[in-house]
Amino acid sequence: MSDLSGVSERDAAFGLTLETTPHYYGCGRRGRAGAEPGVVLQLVVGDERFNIEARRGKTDELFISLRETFGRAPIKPMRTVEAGGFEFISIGPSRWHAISRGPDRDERHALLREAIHDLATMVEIAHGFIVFRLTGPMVTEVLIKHVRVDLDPEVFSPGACVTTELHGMTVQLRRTCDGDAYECAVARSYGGSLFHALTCAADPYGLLVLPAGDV
Amino acid sequence: MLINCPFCGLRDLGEFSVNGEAVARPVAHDDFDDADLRASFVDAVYFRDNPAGLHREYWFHAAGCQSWLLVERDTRTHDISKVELARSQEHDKEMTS
Repeated sequence: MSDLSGVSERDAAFGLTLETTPHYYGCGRRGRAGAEPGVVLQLVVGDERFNIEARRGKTDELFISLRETFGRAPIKPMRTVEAGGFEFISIGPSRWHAISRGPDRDERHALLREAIHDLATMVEIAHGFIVFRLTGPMVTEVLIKHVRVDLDPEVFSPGACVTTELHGMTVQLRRTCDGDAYECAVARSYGGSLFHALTCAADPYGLLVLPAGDV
Repeated sequence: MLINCPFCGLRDLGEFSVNGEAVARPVAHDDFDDADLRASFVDAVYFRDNPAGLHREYWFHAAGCQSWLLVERDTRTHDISKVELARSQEHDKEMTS
């Protein structure tokens, strides 16, 4: 059975009853036995994700406004930029996802809306995505079974992000800015398929699936 | 085959879908029953030159940045000589930063 107990008051107000822990998400140890798992997987819940798309011809003005507000602007393609408590992920020309985690979100969101004002559209889309966080010494071995981008740690350095094909799905793959973890975000309806693809690839190295949680 | 997306860099062909020859859309006017206009639309939509040599095509980076690209490809060798964003180049600064 799906766990719907974690539906927030805000989600309930919008009539959204998304499952906090999807039915396919089985926690525990899988695959090869051993003292330490080669890969640790966790479903990330509780984050907020804004889709930001600059209005035509307003990209430079948006950069200036974000830099004035947060001190940095997400000018580089294929990189995650941390600024003002957000992680700005480049997803395409003049398009970003801004991920917000942790406390004091309302203040940050207000600042972001103020910085963007009429220079871009900003829509909260966290409900549309499932995010799996992968850590462990064998995590790149798992990912290279599926994706056709260079994951050499020198190339796919901390903060790198790509949108690419993974097992037939369009997946946003990124390495966290501290370099310790990889996150795969996929459209929510593909979550089960992505979970299956990742766990099957990780089983030979020993996999620990943690309960869903904040990161 | 690899396509060098201006935003994402070199990516595998499997991430893209092709939308055929890059032809200019005919300029429509009020009289859609005009024979010449209809003929020009039929030509643009259905007829392809299919040359043996350089060919300009629209490709869509579906499993990537979801940009429409203009690709110049040699149909005999599949060598790609040029890739650019189909939209205006207002993001040049972003690309080179």
